[in-house]
Amino acid sequence: MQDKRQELIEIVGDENVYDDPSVLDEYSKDHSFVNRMRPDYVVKPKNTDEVEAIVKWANDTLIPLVPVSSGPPRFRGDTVPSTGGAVIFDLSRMKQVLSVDRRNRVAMIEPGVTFAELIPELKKNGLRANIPFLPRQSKSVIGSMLEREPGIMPKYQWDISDPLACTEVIYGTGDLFRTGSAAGPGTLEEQRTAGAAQKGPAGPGQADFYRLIQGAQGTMGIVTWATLRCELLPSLQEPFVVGSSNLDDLLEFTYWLIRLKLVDECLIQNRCTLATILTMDGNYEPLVHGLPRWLLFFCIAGYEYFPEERVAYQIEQMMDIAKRVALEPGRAIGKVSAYEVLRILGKPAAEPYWKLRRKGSCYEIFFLTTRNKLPEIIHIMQDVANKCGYPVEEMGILLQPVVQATSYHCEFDMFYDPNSPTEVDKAQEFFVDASKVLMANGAFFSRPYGLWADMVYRRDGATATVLKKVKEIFDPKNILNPGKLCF
Amino acid sequence: MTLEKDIYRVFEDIVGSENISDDPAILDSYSYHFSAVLITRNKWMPRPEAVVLPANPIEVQAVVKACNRWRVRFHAMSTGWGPWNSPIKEGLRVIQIDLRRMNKILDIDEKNMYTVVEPYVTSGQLQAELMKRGLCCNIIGAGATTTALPPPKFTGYGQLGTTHSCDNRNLLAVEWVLPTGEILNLGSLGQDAGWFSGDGPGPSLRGVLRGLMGTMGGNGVFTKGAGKVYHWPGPPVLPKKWFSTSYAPESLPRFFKVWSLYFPSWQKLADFGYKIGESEVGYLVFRCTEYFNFHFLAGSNEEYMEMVKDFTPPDKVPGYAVLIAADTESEFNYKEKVVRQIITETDAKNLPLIEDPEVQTKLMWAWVRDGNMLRPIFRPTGNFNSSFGSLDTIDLAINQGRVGARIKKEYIKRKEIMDDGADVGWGIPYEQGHMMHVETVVMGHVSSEGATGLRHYERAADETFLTPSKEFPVCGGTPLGTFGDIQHNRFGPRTSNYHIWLRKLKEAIDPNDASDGSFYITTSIPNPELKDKGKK
Amino acid sequence: MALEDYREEMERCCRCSACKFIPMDIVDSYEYVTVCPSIARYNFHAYSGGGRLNVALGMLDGRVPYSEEVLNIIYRCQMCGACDISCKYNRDMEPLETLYALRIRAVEEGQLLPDHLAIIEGLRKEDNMVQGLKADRGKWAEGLDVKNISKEKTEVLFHAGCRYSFDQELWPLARAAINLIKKAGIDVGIAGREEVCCGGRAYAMGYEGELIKYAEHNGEIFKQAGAKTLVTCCADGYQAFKVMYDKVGKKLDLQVFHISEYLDLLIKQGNLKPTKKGPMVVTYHDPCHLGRLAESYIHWKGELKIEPDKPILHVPPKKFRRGHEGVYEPPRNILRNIPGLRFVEMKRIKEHAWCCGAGGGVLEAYPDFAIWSALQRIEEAECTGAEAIVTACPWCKKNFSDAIKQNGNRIKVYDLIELLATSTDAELK
Repeated sequence: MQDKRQELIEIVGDENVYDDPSVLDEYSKDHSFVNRMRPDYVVKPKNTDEVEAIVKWANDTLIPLVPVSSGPPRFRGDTVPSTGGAVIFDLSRMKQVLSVDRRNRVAMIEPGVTFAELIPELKKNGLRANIPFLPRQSKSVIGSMLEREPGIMPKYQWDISDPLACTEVIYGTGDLFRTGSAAGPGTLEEQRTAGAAQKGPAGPGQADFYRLIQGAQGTMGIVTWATLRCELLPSLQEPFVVGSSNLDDLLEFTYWLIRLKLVDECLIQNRCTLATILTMDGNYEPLVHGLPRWLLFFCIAGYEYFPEERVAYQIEQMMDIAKRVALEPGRAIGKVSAYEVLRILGKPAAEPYWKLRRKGSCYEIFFLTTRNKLPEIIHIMQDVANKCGYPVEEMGILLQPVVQATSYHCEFDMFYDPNSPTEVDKAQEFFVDASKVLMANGAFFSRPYGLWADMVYRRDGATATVLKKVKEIFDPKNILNPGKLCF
Repeated sequence: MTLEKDIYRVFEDIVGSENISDDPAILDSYSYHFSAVLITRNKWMPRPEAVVLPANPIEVQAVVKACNRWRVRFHAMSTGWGPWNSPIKEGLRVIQIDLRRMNKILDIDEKNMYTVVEPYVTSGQLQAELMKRGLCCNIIGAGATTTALPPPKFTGYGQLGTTHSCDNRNLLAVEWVLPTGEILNLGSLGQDAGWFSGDGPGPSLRGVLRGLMGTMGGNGVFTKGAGKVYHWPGPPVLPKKWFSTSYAPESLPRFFKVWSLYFPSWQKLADFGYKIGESEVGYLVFRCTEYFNFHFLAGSNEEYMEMVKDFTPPDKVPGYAVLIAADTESEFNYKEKVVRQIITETDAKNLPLIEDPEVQTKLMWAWVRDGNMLRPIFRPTGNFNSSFGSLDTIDLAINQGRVGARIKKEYIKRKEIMDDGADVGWGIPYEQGHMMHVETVVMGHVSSEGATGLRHYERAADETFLTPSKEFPVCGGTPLGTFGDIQHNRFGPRTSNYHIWLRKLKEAIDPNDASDGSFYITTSIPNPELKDKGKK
Repeated sequence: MALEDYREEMERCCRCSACKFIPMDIVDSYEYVTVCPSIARYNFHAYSGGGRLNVALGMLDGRVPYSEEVLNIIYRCQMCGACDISCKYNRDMEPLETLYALRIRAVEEGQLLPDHLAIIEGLRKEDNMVQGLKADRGKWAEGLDVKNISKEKTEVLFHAGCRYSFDQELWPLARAAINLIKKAGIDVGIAGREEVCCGGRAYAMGYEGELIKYAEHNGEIFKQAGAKTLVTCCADGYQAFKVMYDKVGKKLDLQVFHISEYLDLLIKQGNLKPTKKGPMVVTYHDPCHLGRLAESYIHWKGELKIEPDKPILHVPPKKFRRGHEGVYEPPRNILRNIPGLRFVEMKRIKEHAWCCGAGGGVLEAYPDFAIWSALQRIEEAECTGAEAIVTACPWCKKNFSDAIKQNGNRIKVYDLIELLATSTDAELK
C-alpha cells in the first residue's frame, strides 16, 4: 500500500495524495442508494501530464480509478467506487479557464472549473453558458456536460451533446486524444492561427469520439480540458411566468414558444420545486400553497440589434399563442416574481443546495420522454408514490424541454430525511419501484446511474454488448470506474 | 469473379428471385459513378458480385447474417449516388444491398418535431410533406433526390443549416443492422421508448454509427431512422409556375425576403457571418457565389455563359445567399431591419439581379428545395471534386474558402480544371453561426484528363491541411473526403491518431469484416478466409 | 445517330436519380413523385433512364454482352420520355435519344423480342400494328358520309390510326370524331382502306427503317390528296407525323393536329358548342405521345465543345425540348367546356405524366407490366375522387380499360371524343 502511495506522490506531490479516513469517507458515499465503498486514496492532479501518468500507473497496477470533478453534495452514485481498492481521481485542482473567445462564442476550461467560477469569466466577455437547472456551487462544468445535463435554454441545444464541443481526453489506455476539430491537423496554436477555435465537436473522421465519453460516467476516459459552446449575454430580458393546473395547456404553449424560437430560458416546474428553490428560511409552506400546480417560466430576450423591437415582436407572438391556449403569462404569480426566478436560474444555487434544504437529502429520478407521454408518466409516478406512501405533493417535478423540445428531461426530486430510517427505507423502495414502472412505460433512462444501470441494460442487450466492445478498446483493463453502467 | 451458385441461392431464398441479380448489365448499373475515374483510373468502380433488393429489415438482417456465414461482404446503399456506394477495388467479394424498396415515411411527429423514415424516402418528398404541416427538413447540398435518412448521409451539410443544423447532428434514434447481423436499436428505441433520442443509455453509440462523415456502407445497414425537423413559416404548398427549366413558386411567400450579397473583403465576409448568426434573423444563410446562383437560374451551360459574360460583381468577394422568413409582419419588419443594418456594417452589396421579384422567387426555391444543385456541379463538365470543408468556426471556414480558391487558380491556369472564377466556395454557418464549413468545389471533365486535374487539386488541398503554414492557414478538423484507408492513414497521424481508434472500432463491431469498409476503414488484418476467397 | 455517338452523354450521367422522379422542384407530397414505370416496377437501377445509359456504356465498352436480362432492360421500357424530361430539367442531356439508339442497335444486331417481331411482320405485311388485315382497315368508316381521298382530294385529312381502325370497340369514337368535325362544318376526308400506319410505334420498338418507310409513304399520300391539314385521333400518330418524321428528315408539308387540338379550335371558333350536361367528376391523363413527346423536333447541327477549362458547350447553342410545349391545354379546355363536368387534376400531369403503360412495345411483349403501370395511374386517378379518367389516346384507353377490367376498379375510362360527342349531340355509334 505504501508503495502505491509513494508512486502516486511521485506523480502529483505529497500534498495531493489523501488517505485520511475522514477524506476517504466523503467519497465513499453520496445521496444515492449505491453501496458505500471507501476508496484507498484520493489524488488530485494539476495538469494533463499528471492525469496521463496516473492513468498509465493504473494500467500498470490494475488499480481502479474513479474520476470526480465536482464537489459535494453528490447524488448519482457515479463517483462512489463500485469496487474496493479504488483511487478517487479528483480533478478539482484543474481550475483554469484557459480561454474565452467572444467572437466564436466558445470557452476552453479544465475539469475543476465550476459554474460559479465560469459564469463571471464569460460575463466579462459578453457571454453566458447554457447552464443546467440550478447546479450546485461546486458543480464542475465539464462534469455537467459529460453527464449530458440539460441546459435551461432549449433553443440553444441543437444536439443532446450541447454545449460540449471538443475535448482533450486520456483514454483508459493512457493515450491522449483530442476529439472534434481539436484533434488536428496542427497544434492548437496552429489551428487558432487558421481561425479555428476547437468548436466543432464532430469527428475526427467517421466517428464522433466525444459521444463515447459523454454519458460514460468516467469509464472511457478522463477529460483534461473541454471547450463549450457559449451564447450571448442579452442586453434586454423579459421574463414571464404562467401557471395552470392543466399541464397539457402549458406543454402546448411551450411547444410553440420553442418551435418559433421565441424564448431563451424555458422550463416547467411544479409548485413544490419552485417553492423549494425560492425559499431558504422556512417560508416554504405559505409560498407553495399560493402557487398553481404547474408553472411555466420563460424569458424573451433582445441582443445587440434593436433589442426592444425584437422583444416586442416576440412578446406579440407569444401573447397570440397564449390566447390560443387560454393562458395568461405575467410578470408574477402570487408572490413569485418572474424577475426573481430569472435571477435565481442564471447562476448556481445558493447554499445550502436547494435539494437538501427541505429535509436534508434528496433522491432524483430523471429520464427523457416526449411531451405527449408526460401527463401519463406523471400520473403513473403519483400512483407509485401513493402506493409507497410518499406524499405526492412533496415531490418536486421539473420538466425541461431538451434538444429544441424533441423531448423532455423529466425529473422527480424526492426530498427525505436521511436521519429517519423509515424515510430512508421508504425512499429506496419508492426509488426502485418507480424506476421499474417508469421504464416499463416509455421513460428513457439515458443516463443510467447506480441501480438503473442493470435495469436499463437488461432491456437492451444489443447496446450493452456493443458498449462492452467499445469499452474494451478505450479501457481494456477496465481501470476506469469499473462496475458502472454495464462494465 | 462470380458468386458461387449455392451461395447465390441463399440470398435468392431471402429476397426472392425477382430481387436479386448477378447479370453483368445489372451490376454495371451499380458500378458506373461520377468520380470513379478518380479512384480506379477508369470510369467504372468494381462490380459487386450481385445486387439484392430487400423489402424490410428482416430481409436485410437475413442477408447480413448470410454474408457473415458465407464470408461475403455487403455494401448497403440508399439512393446510391456516388462512388462510395461501391467496393473500392476488385476482389473484395461484395454484394450490393440496394434499399430502394424500403421507401416509407413511417411517422411525422409534429408535436415532438421529428420524423421517422426508411432509407429510400427522398429529402424532397419529406420536405414536401413537412411543409404541409408548417415544418421543414434539412436537404443536403447534393439535392432533394438524396435520402432523408440521416445516418448514411455523406456529411449532412445543407443550405438550410443556419436554422436546420446538419444531419450528423439532426440524427435521433436508428434501427441499425450491425455488420454481424444483430439489430441494435439506438438510443430510446432500444428501450422501447420511441424514436426521440439517439444517445444512450450511457455513452452514445451514435458516435460509432457515424462521425463528421457517414460510414459509407462500412458499418452495417441503417433500416430506419429519426431526424429532427424545424419550423417552416411559409405556406403549406407553394403553387408553382409550370415552365421548365424553372418550376418556381408563383411568388415569394408573404414575409419572405432574399439577398445575394458581396463584400469588399474576406474579413467583412466573415464578419457578416458572425453578425447574422448572432442576430438569429436568418432562416437560410449560405456562402454562395454567382457561380451557383446563375447556374440555378440558367437553363443550360450556354445560358449560364451568357449570364456571366458581361457580369460585374457588385464587390470583390462573393458572399452569402440570405433568406429571412417570418410568421408575422412585425417579425418580418424586425428581421429585415436587422439584415439591412448588418449589410451597412459590413459594407455588403446586393446582387442587382436579385431585385427582380421573379429572380428572388426562383432563387429562394433553388436554395430551400435544393432541386437544382446538379446545375452548378454536374451540368458544366459532368464531374467534380470537393475539398476542405472541415467543421469549426466561420473564420476558419472563410479561410479555407479563400485558400481553396487560391490553390485552384494554379490549376485553372494550367487548364487542368474548369475556370469557374476559382472562388466557388460553398458553405453554411450552422446553427446561427456557431459553426461553419466551406468547401471548394472544382469541376473537371469525366475524361481521364479531367480527372487528372481534379486529382492534382485534391492532393494540393490535402497537403495544405497536413502541413499548416502561415501562407495557407487552414487546419482544424478533418476535411471532407477523409474516408477510406488511404485518407485515414494520411490524416490520422496528424489528427490524434484517430485512425487507430477507428480501426479498432471497426474490428470490434465487424469481427468478420462483412461490411465493406472501402470508404470507411478496413481492419488491419483482413479475415484470412476472405483473403483466400478473394484469390479465386 | 449511332449508339456510339451518345457515348459522351452516357459518361456524363452522374447517377443523381432525377430520372426516376418528377423534378423535386414541383414535388408537393410524398405520393406520386416517381415518374418511371420501369424502375418503379423492377427496382434495379439498370431499369431507370440513367441505368440504361450505364448499360449502354457497358455494351460499348465490351463489358456487357447481350443476355435475357439485357433484353429485359432494353425492352421493359415504354419509351415514354419521362426520364428524359426529368433529366434535362437540370442537365444538358437527352437520355431518350440514347434509349432510341440502344433499341435500334439491338434490332440491328438481331436482338429482338419474338412478340415485337410478330407485330413488325404484321406491319410489313398488312401496314398496321395490331395484326389486322389491310383489307379491313377502312371498315370503321363504313356507312359514314365522308370523302375518300382515293376518289377526291381534301384539304383536311383525317387519320384514324391503327388502333381506332381495327378495334371495333373504338370504331364509334373514330366515327364520332368525323361527325364532330363535320358538325363544325369542316369538309374532311379519309384514306379509309388505303390508310397505313404512321410507323411511330415501330420506331419506339427500335425499327427505324419502318418509320422512314412510312414517313415517305405517308408524305406522298398526303401530298397526292392535296391535304393542307392532317387531323389524327391517335396520339402515337400525332407524335410520329409532327415530330418523328421531322427527326428522320421527312417532315410533312402540312399542318398536323391532334383531334383534341382541332376540336378545341372548333369550339373556340364557335363551330362546336357542347350543350348537354355531363355531370361527372373527371380527371385527365396526358398521353406521352400527345404531351412531352409531342413537342416539335428541333434540329441541331453543331459540335459539342469540350475544353478542359470550360464547361461543355453546344456550338451553336442547342435548344432542348423540355416537354412543356406538348398538347396540354386543348384537352383540358374541351373538358372545361362540357357543362356539368367537374375537372380535377392528378399530381403527375403534363410533361411529368405517368405513362399509361402501353408504349414502347411493352403492351405487346410484357402485358403484365403494361397492366401494372396502368393500375398505378388508375390508383392516382382514384385518389382525386374522380369518377372517370379521360384520355385522348386509344392505346391509353385500351390499357386503362383492360387494367380496370382485370382489377375490378370502379372508375370509368373515357376518350375525350366520346364525352364531347355526347355533349354536342354528335352521333356516337
